Amino acid sequence: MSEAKSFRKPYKRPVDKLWWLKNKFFTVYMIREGTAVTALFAALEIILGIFLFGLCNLDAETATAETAAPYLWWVQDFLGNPLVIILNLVCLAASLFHAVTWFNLMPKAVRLFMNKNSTELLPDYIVKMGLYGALAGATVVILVFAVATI
Amino acid sequence: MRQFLPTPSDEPIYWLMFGAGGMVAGIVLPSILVIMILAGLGSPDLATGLLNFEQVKGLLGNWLLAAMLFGIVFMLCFYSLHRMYHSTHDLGFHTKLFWFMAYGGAAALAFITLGLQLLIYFKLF
Repeated sequence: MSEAKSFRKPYKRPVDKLWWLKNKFFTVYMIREGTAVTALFAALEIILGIFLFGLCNLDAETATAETAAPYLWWVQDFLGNPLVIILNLVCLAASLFHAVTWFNLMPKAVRLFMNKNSTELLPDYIVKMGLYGALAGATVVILVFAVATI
Repeated sequence: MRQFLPTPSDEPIYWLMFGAGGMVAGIVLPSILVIMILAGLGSPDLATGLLNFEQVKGLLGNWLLAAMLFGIVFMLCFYSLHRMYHSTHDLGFHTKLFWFMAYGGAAALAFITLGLQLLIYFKLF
């Protein structure tokens, strides 16, 4: 940190809180930023599940409905709640929207050159196809693994 | 005359975690949400159904899978709160308080998750 005391008093222009509704481009931009909220919700769901799993009696020789009651509440009543299912579907849609926009901006953020001797960039569609392939591959691997380890 | 030296920014660290979390949210999160939706619809039991008790016991008891789950949650927390902090500027809030709330909250959630996972891991095996 600089030791100089700042005497800056920047002028903060008053902003209309709903400025982003007046232009379709800005509305899509704010929805894209809003996908972060749904990602946080998904993370909190997972953390709640881990917490309630920790509350179970894990020393029991064989798990019964009593020893695993907190976790069973999470997986049956919480995740099975119609409101939570709807929220999870919204999160899924937001996550896929985020994925599409994220993959679209990735060729602009990561500039890959064709080779060392030229300034020609790798075509955008190759980077995007790689990312969509990663999404498809990860989805298949995780779902197959989840079903196989039941 | 005081020298005004450029101070190194800490933003690259957060931006790196934001970038990694964005990848996680785009590539890994959809399938995790599908699993949670299917588990909610399937109403799993102690040993039957997707995300049943024994399956999650094996997931959290395996050091590699547990570390991967922690990494996913950690990255998601920093990604989403970083993005939400920068969105507060778009809504006209320019206060450092939100910086502490966002990154403090993300760090707190990460430490809580790590602690819970370590407790569960060492309780199990």
